[in-house]
This record gives sequence, C-alpha cells and structure tokens, in this order.
Amino acid sequence: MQSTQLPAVDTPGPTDMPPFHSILFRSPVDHAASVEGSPAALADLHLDQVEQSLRRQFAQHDPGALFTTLLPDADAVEYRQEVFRDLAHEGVLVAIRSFSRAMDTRLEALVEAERSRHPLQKQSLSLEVVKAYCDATRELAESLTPLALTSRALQGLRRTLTALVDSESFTAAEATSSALLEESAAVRYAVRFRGSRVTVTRYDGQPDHGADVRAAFSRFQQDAPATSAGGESGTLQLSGVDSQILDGVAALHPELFAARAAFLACQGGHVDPAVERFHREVQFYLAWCELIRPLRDAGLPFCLPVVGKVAGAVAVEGGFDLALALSAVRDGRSVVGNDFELSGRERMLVVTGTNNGGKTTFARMVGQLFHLVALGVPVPARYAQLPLADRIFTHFEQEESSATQAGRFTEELRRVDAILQDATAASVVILNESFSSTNLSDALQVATRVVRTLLERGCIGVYVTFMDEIANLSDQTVSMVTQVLPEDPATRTFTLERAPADGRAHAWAIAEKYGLTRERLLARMRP
Amino acid sequence: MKVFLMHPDRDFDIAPTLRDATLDAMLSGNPFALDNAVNPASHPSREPTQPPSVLELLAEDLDLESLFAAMADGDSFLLETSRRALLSGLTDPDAIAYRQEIASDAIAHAGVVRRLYDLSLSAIEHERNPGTIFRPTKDPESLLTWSVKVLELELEVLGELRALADDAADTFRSAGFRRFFAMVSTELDDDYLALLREHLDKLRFDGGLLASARLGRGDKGSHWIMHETPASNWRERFGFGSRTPTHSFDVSPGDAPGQRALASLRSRALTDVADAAAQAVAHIKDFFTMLRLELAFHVGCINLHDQLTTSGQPTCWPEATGETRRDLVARDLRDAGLALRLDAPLVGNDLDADGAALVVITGANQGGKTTLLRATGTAQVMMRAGMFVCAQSFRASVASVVLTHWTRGEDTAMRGGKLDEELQRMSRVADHVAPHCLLLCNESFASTNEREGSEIGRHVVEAMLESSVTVMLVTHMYELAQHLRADATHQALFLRTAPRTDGGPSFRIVPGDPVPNSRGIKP
Repeated sequence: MQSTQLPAVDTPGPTDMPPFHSILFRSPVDHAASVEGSPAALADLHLDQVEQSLRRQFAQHDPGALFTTLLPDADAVEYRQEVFRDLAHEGVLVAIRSFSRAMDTRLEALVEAERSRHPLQKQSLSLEVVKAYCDATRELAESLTPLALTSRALQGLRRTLTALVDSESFTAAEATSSALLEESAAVRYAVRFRGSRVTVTRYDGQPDHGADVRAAFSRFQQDAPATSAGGESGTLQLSGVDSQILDGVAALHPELFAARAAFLACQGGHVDPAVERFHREVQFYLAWCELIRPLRDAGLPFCLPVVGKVAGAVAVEGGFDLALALSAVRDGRSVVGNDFELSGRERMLVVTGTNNGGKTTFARMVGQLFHLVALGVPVPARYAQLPLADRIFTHFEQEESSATQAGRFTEELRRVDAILQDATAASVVILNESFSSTNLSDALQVATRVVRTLLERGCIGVYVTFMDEIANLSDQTVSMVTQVLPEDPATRTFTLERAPADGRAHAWAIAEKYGLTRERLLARMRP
Repeated sequence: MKVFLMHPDRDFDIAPTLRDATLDAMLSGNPFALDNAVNPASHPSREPTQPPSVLELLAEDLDLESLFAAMADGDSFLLETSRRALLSGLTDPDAIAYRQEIASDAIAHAGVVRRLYDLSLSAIEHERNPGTIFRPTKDPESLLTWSVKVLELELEVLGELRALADDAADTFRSAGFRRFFAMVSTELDDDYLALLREHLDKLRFDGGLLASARLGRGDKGSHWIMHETPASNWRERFGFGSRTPTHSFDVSPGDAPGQRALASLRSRALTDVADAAAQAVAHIKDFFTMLRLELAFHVGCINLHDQLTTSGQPTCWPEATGETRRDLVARDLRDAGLALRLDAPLVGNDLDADGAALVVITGANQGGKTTLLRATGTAQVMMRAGMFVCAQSFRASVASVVLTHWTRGEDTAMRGGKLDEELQRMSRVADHVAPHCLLLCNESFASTNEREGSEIGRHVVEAMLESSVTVMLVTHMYELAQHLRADATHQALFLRTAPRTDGGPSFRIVPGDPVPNSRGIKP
C-alpha cells in the first residue's frame, strides 16, 4: 500500500536516531499520505458523535482533522500505539498530563499579558509565562528520565527535552525568571488612606490587626476556625488607583524593576518549537484517554488492535459501539459486546434477525473499529485483529432523501454505484438495510449483484438485511443472527452469533412462551 | 469557652437523624425560621412514602409528645430541644449522673437558670437585630460598622453574664454548673472585658486606614492586611516626612471612577479585619446559641417537674446501672405521659424484674398492661436523658437502644396489608437492634391468627433474646406466652393483670403465669 522510504524501525541507537519530529506522525511524509474519511460515512457510523465528545476533551485546543484522518500503513499505526502503550503506565500519563496542564496555564497567562495595559503588570505576567514554560519543560524532562519508555515517539521527545533543559540559554532563563518572580512576591508595601490622599511607603513590620481581633474573640469560638480568603479580588485589571500605587512601589524598589525590564528586553525564554508542538499534539492522546476512561471504569474493555499482519484476517472479541457506550455509561445503562471473525476466504458478514435486536449497532461497531484502528488508538473491544482500510464506505437508509418509493430506490442505486466505482480490495463497505425501498425480488436481485461485485473486488463488508438469501450467497459470506433468550423472547440481548439465517429463532421462542409449540399444544389439548 | 451542661466533655450530642432542618432553624436563632420548620402545613417535613424512623415510632408508641409539650410549656424551641434530648439518650451511667446533677441543680435554682436562659436569648437577638441595621452581606466597610455595633451590645450581655456567674458561684452544687460559672468568671474577667472594649474603639478607624499588601499575580496588591492606625504626630502634621521614602497622590473628589476605585481598594484592604470582626460576632453568637440550647433542656426539666409535682405525681432520680446487667426494679412506677394527659389519680405499679431477659405481661384488656409497658419505656427514656422519672424509686440497666413495636389497630386501611406492614416494621426495628437494647412489644403479630402470630412471635422473640436483647412483651396470645413460659433457656418474668376486685379494673400488674381463657374480647 505504501512504499515511502522510512528510517528503519528496528535499528535504534543513540547516534543514528532520526531527529524527533512529532508524536503523532513518524515523519512528515505520513502526515501527507493520510486520507480523510467522508463526513457522510462518519455520520452513518455515529463517529461524528464520538468526535464531538472527543472535541470536548480537547477544550481550548483544536484537534483539526486528526480524528477523521486515517493513517496510511501499519507502522504509522504502530508508532501511535507505542505511545498509548507507554501512556498505559500511570507514571507516564501523570507526567504528561501535568505538563499539559502547566502549559495550558502558561497559555492563559500569555493571553493575560497581552491584554494588560500597565507596562509593569505586563512585565510581571511575562515573567510568569517564561517561568511556567521552564518549569513545565524541566518537570516533564525529569519525570520522563527514570521511566522505561518503549515508544519511538516518547523516546525521541525525551532526547530532545534532555538536551533542551541542559542548554545554557534554558537554564539561564529558568534561573533568572524564578529569581525575579520570587523577589517581586517578597515585596510588601504599606498604603495609608486618609480621605482622598493615598500614601505608599515601605512596610515596617506592623502587626496584623485582623489577627489581633481574631485572637481577642477566639475564646468564644465553638468549632474549628473558618479560614478567610483575605481580600483578594479575582480580576487582574488595575484601576487608576492601583496603577498609581504600583508606580509608587516601583519607585520604592528601583533595582528590582530595572532588572525585570532588562531580562525581558534581552531574552526571551522563548518557547522551543518542539515543546510547543508536543503540547499541541499530545492533546490527541490525552483526549482519547480521557474520553474512554469512564467507559474503562465502567468495566468496558479497550485494546490496541493487531494490525494487518495476516492480510485480510479479521477477528474481534467483545467489540461494542463506542458512540452508544459513551451515552450508555453516562446514563448508567449496560453495553453489550459482540464477537466476529472473517477467516480464509470469508469477506462479508451478513446480519439478519429480529428488529431492534442490535443489527445496526453491530454494523456501526464494525465500521467504527475499522476507522479507529487506522487512528492508532485503543479501540472498543477486548481483542481485535484488523487490516487497515484505505476507505470506509457506508450505505445506510436515508429516509428523507426522496418522497416517492421509486425516487428512493433510484437514489439508493446511485449511491451504491458510487461505492462500487471507488471501492478497492482494501476498502470496507457497510451496507445497512440497503434496497429495502423496493419489492423483495428487485431488492434481492440488486443486492446479489452488489454483494458479488464487492466479493470479487476483495472488499471486506457488513450487510444488515432481512433477506436470508444473501447470507447463503457464497462461501465468502458469513451469516450472523441476533440472539434471543428462549425463556423470555421479549428481552433483547443485543447479542449476535454465527448461525444459519432461518428467520425463525425469535418466533420460536415466542411460541414456547405462550405454549404454542407443537408438543405443548398437543399436551394441552390432550383430554 | 465550652458550655458543657449536657455532657462533661462535649457539646450537646444530638442523634444524627435529629440533626435536621429543624435543628438548623433552631440554631439560626431566627424564631420565624423555626416556626416554618416545625409547622407541617408550610413545610412538609418528610415524604409521605418514607416510613417513620425508629425514633419517630418510639415517640409515637410511648406517647412522648405529652412529655415534650409539658417541657415546652408553649415554647417551640424548648419543645424541639426536649424532643432531641429525650431521643438522643445517654448510655454511660456516669454521663447520666453528670446530667442528673445539673438538672437537679436547675430545678433547685429555677429562677437563676431561667434568667441565664433569657440572657443567652437576648445575646442571640442582638445579632439578628442590633437596632437599625441588618447584617450586610457584601461591602466590608458596612460589615465592619455592623459588627462593631453588634459587639458593643454583646459586650453588655457579657458583663451581665459575668455578674450572674459571680453571684451564682457559691449556691450551685453540680460539677457542671460550677465549672460553667468558674469558666465565665475567669474567661470574662475585668481585664479581658476592657481589652474587648479597647478593640472596639480601634475598629472605628477614626484616624484613617493603614494597610499593607504584597505584590501578587500581575503585580496586583494581594494578601492585604490592616494595621492599627498610628496616632498622627507632629512630624506628619508639619509636613516632615519620616525617614522612609514615600509616594503620595490625591484622588480628586470630582474623579468619580477614581473615587470608586479608591473605595473598592479600601474595602479590599478592610476585608480581613471586617471578616475578623464579623467572625467575632459569629463566635459570640455560637457560644450563646450553644448555651441556650443546653439550658433549654434544663428549663424543660424545670417545667415538667413543676407540672408533675403540682399534680401530685411522685418523682425520683433513677439509679442507672451498666448496660450488661439486667436490672429493673421500680416502686410506684407511673406513665408520666398518662399522668400529664389524665387529671384523675393514677395507679402506680411495682416491678421486680432484676435479671430478667424477658418480661411477658398477659391478662385482661383495659387492665393496665400497655400503661405499664409505656411507663417502663418512658422511665427508661427519661433516665437515659439524665432526667428524673415518674416513680418513687427506679433502678435499671441503661439500654443501649430503646425500640418499640406497637400493634397498629385501625391505622392500616387494607386488611391484607396489615401483617405485611407489621412485619416490615419489625424488620426495620431489627435493623436497629444492638446488644443490650430494650425492645418493647405491644400486642405484636396480632394482625394474623393466633397460631401464625405465635409462631412468628416465637421466632422473633427467641432471636432477640439470643442477641442479648431485653424484651418486654404485652400479648394476649396464650400460645405464644405459654411457649415462652415453657422455655427455660432465658430468665423470664411473667406478669398478669390483677383480678378485678369490685367490678372495675384494678390497673395493677402482679406476677402471674399466662392463663388460657385470659384473652378478652377485643373491643
């Protein structure tokens, strides 16, 4: 599928390491080679809902098209999977999360510095921005050092960070910004208010009047003391009076304020681009971990899939619809996982069975897994082995597309033609109740032709249908049927199993419940 | 300063289920809030679907409301306090003795205790309404003004409290009151009261404000603290600066935003001191709130004692013994609640049930069985609250918990649901059983036929006895009583209604075995 020359993966050494590029892409080439999925398919698979939930995790960061873009080859996927494997170790995740939070705070301070209108305040906030960057970077470098990292990405990052925090310019900026902020924070000044006159002087160590009052009345106290905030105001905005007082304080401490100005004028403490990029890109990993955390806590399994070692082999255990699970866990409902497998010549899962038995959810789940595996993220399943798809096509019923029955059928044919034109041997096609807008014989005829074409092409597919005949079309189709509990057919299990499509399982169970089976009827009618 | 007039070592310890919205309203000091909380019309206290708690059942079954009402004498604060004290019983005989002494002192010096109660009430009122202004919520400068005003009033109350304590020191006998008065005399001595007065003067900040701040985030002033304003000296007055450099500026009176900024900065600087002053108010109020709450119980005891003795009922201080013993001896024991409700003279009963794990009372209807059960339960509840009891003498082991299970005659509309309701209630009671608790059963399991009822009763009673529960049972089910009589595993006492002498009931309960034909026709 891909023939781009890439640095050999299995020959890492400190000397011939490729320069660290990004924690999302092995090399700039991958980025360019990635393909974006079609919005319609994403919506059919409810991946748009997943993306929305994911975007909320990103907060102020923009994930761009990361969630919709499929990686081009197994190694590109492996590159991200390695990072997730490292993140599975609590120490790594904690270190990176704390770095990310610190850098978020830095960004907020940067905005505040830009907004500030008082030059001295701007100075103070700029110092804070420099220090926040230095602290976050050093802390990350130090926490990563003792950790056993296995991913190429994080190893590369660690090398870059170690070199950076040892550099002279970094350590100088770090030391000076800290010292200046500490000195500033140590300044206490006195203000006397008499009528409209305000006088700023040095603080001479006068005792705290509030504390004296508290001490005097403390003997009446019945329970533990309540702590007081002590006159802080939330906003950073300086009033005219605040500004004049600050000017007075600066005049009382000329050396300190001169040193602050000098440092900011000559230096920077400018952020290293690699650190900035890492902060931006790592949001993808953090957001995904955060998105699936409540599901994992609720006992739902996630795994890093085995990618395309055996061409075409598909095996999934306990796969579930992520979009459904996200809302189900929120509402405290349970989620049912399903297994499926395609081996040998098998290419297409044909799903039949009761209405509302979980057929569409199953089809979505399969489509989602093919999409998610190509993002390099942990996928909603206990175990998954999946090949990479070049594209995922969906053909779902579109109820509002046309008013007339004939118009809808034409529309369906037009959409399926487009799929047949573009699908390759590496494509995945999900058909959901396709051609149900026409009579059975027409539908059967079209469906048979479409399925045969897809099978010849070598596509992997799922077809949800009420037409049992499709399930028995060839040895390349696998029949999956929704399961019911024989003793209580009214309870939907949402479980699907490999079984011949006979369309009878559900009806049989209902008959038994009401004693209408042959044996039961005979027994009841016996005199 | 701790009051400690309920326990030797802690504040009035109220059972968790009684620390509710009503208690919050009581502690708020706002009588309207309390009225709203106790008036079920404006404030439905609990969901109708929620079954009553075991404490509510206890109060209902023993008819403790008459007792609460007598203690309250028309005051809802006293009523709610009495309810909480009686339902939050003590289990340690020493703790009971400590409270008994204080209550007895209170009864002996009723006038002083009532004055002390009124004093604490007036201190709480000052916080609510110091004359003209109500407590400001936001602006620190107004909060400070308000606090100083309240503190001035409280200072007068503290002076009165001190004088009262000095006078009372020698007349009270109980350890609790003596400790309390000694504490007031030492803690509120002349020096301290003078110091508080001095503080109030300084808090008026007549000479302007002196504050200091640190450079906080973005060089904005933070951690403002106030300092005492230095007296202005000749240097300043004549324009000579001190040795430290200063930078002054004026905010023009016409500069409205500037004046607003100045006011807001003054407020920020004053926040901590205003807070400290408001906290001082709160502390003083908290102290008087606790004093009022604990005194309310003793005032309640005075009220009840007055009523019982006026109507000629005997009262005595019960002897509480350790919970692992099974002591129960009484002379002329009466149901205090019935005594309050009924104007007619009551028949007292004697009990000699030392060592008995099970007391079974059988006999004629309307013969005083339930009254004796209530009298015993009420005496136990009052003893656990550190109160006197309605008897000539009473000695009993302190029950770890007092539980009741009364038959609910006409309460339940559905006949079929009656046993269901009864057993469900018994199951809830069982949830609260602890070793050495006292279970009072009045005609339990009577909502089914005698055979089934006896069978269930046997299972329940035996399980209870094996769990070290003391059971006192009134029953008309001969089969149950006879079975319990035959079982010699646990020490049991069997009592019967004394035979009628002159055609009317004697209301006397005497030792006697169950008799088959004793079951009367239920009215």
